[in-house]
Amino acid sequence: MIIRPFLYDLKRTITSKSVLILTIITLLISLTIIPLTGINSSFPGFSESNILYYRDNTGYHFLAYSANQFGEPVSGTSVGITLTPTPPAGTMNYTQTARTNNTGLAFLTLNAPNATYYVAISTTTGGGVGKSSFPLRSWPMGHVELISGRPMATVVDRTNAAKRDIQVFYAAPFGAVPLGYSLYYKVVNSFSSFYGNQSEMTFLGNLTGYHQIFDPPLPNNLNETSQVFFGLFKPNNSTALYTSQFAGFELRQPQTRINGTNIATFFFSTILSFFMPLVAIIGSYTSYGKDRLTGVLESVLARPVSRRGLAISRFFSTIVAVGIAGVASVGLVDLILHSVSGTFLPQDFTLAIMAALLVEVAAFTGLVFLLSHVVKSTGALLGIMIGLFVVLDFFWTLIILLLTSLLGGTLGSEVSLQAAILSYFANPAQFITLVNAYLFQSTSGIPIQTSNFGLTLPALVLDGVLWAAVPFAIFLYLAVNRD
Amino acid sequence: MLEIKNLTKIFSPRQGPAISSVSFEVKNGEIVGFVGLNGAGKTTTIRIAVGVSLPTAGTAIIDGHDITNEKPEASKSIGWVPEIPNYEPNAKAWTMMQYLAGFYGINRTEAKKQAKELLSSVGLSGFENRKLRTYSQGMKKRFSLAVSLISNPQNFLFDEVLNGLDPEGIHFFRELMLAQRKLGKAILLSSHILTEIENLADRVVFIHRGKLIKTATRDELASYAGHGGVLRIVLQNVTDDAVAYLKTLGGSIQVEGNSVILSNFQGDSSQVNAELVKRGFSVQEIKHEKSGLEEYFFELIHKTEAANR
Repeated sequence: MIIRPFLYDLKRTITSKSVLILTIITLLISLTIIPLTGINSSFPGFSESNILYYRDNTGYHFLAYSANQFGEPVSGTSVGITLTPTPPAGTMNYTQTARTNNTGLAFLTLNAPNATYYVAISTTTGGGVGKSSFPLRSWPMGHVELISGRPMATVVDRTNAAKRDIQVFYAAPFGAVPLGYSLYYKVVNSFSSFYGNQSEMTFLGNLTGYHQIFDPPLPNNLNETSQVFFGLFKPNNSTALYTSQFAGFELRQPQTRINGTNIATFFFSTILSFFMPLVAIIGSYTSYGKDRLTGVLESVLARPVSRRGLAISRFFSTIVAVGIAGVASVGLVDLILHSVSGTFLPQDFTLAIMAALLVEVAAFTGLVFLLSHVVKSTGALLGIMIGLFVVLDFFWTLIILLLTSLLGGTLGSEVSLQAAILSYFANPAQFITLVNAYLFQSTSGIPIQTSNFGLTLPALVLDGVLWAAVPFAIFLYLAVNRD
Repeated sequence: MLEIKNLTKIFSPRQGPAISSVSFEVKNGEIVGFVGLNGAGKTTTIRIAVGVSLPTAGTAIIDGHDITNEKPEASKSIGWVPEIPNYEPNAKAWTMMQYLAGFYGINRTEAKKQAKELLSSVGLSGFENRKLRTYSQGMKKRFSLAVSLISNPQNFLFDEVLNGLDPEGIHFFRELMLAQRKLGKAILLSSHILTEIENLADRVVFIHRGKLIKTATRDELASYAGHGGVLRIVLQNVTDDAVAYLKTLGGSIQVEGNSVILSNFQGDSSQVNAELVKRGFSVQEIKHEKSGLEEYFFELIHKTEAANR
């Protein structure tokens, strides 16, 4: 009989406005991790958009490629080309607009006669509008000329935001796909120039389309002056394109790889562990405290449900509801970090954080439920819990300082570390910090042997179990045995 | 059937028991009135009987199930309408009915159907989608009644349900109780409106200062009513002869102008009228006000207070 009320209360708790709002807020808070990754998700400016053209008997043909910072195609970018004849060729303008397809390409043909023109380029995406205009250089029929962007450019590595890859955007004569064209590179450990030929370079790969991204396997011993030169060669091994050098450290792998775990640790122990107690307090107040103290709970208690059953179902449904917000937040953070670093957080770390979050949620939920049977008004309940939250979340550092001075230590001393860890044991709001300290054997950035400070796995588990179970057990006793 | 067995409730040792060893029963097909002054212990008894409050000692047995130890089973057979219904104020009547129906194992489709029918049956059609906080006191009681009918329970406990209701509401509840009695349900009705108790109840349980002081059947109440009352006689002239005759009828006598008032009169008013006329007195008006539940109740209280002194 306990399942039905449990499911009812679970639904009721999850769908209550305050819990929904808090869940959304928790998820939004998770997004604050984005600035911590240092990634700019905006698209490159239009001056970096790649547009090339060639001329044949039918007119002028333009090929545009729109990409994001990773060099990945962006569809829907509007590209407008206007050719204005320069006197004395005539006065008629030729204009066409197209949108990039799902491969990021847009093809435009202007049936303009061979003449001298002034070209105006307009590109529009969700990021804004870019405009440029300049005289169009005349080339022989079939010659391909890049009029915007660079044929070889660096883009952000999808799996390592600190690293850059090489993007090639190129078309063979008459706009043909440059099949058989091959890219070579050469590392030079100085600022000197390199004018070698294909035989002196290392093969990187063949082009299979208009645009392609290459990740050169560079050696790890590059110095600060190392340069990397790239060359694009035609199928007949003649030079198609020769580019200037790139700084080696930009392309070197790995550079300062984004450490998702470090960012996550910081986020979980400071931001999320700060908000979760508040979410648990408000969720518990909504699902039980308020109903209990205003007498609304009696309208449910009069139904065929035992006092124990109702108490357990309300408690666990609250934990599930608030826990979902916490777990979803951890999941979202993991996804965000994955999108940046290319790897998910270590599974044991994620599970430990989720368990620690659940301990925090269970402890604060238990405290609210317990106090609902001790105090006589909703005001008193909220007042005490907010006070507790402020002390445990805001002023805990002061308590650590006090504890440190009582133990005769100074900041940064071993005594201070001992005081900090002891205080974490005594504070459910700091349980995540305690778990992080154990996992990474460090606290406040100071490496420690946690077992020397009493922070062992059994102690950690015992503390978690006590915080999760003791407030709940006392609450259950009061709920079953007291009005 | 509802059995209250030696119920005792002590909220605070300093205040003494709110109720003490209260025992009575409500049989199927019976309406039992539950009468007492404010603070006598009526609501405390009912709250324990429906399982929202815990007894210090004793228990309530609902259709054979102990409300303390077998609450889910016992609660299935209870329909409770409290004096001040208190539901989630922001819930809509419609959704709250369905939510509560789930506790009785009623599936979603059936719950929707029942919610519609029951809300309609208590006169709340058109108000189903309003939040309960917007309901008047009378509407909340009707809603509470609809909730109490969800499981078609065998036992009803109505705690001051008639308080704050308009005449139409009182009539509605009265008819509902009579209909439920006909269906063989056991009904405990606590009310301050003693005339309603008098009209409806098959038995009346009197409680005073937490103790049950009397359980009276309808016959006992009728008998009490027949044995006492006030006889008011208005004569054209009140003479000594007339007063002398009236004094022979027993009870105390009081003369106010042309009126003579006989208290504790236990005779037949028509015979008195005939005798006065026969003796040559001109009787302008004669009125026999029989004793009712109210008098019975106060007499009981006075006797109890006197015994406790």
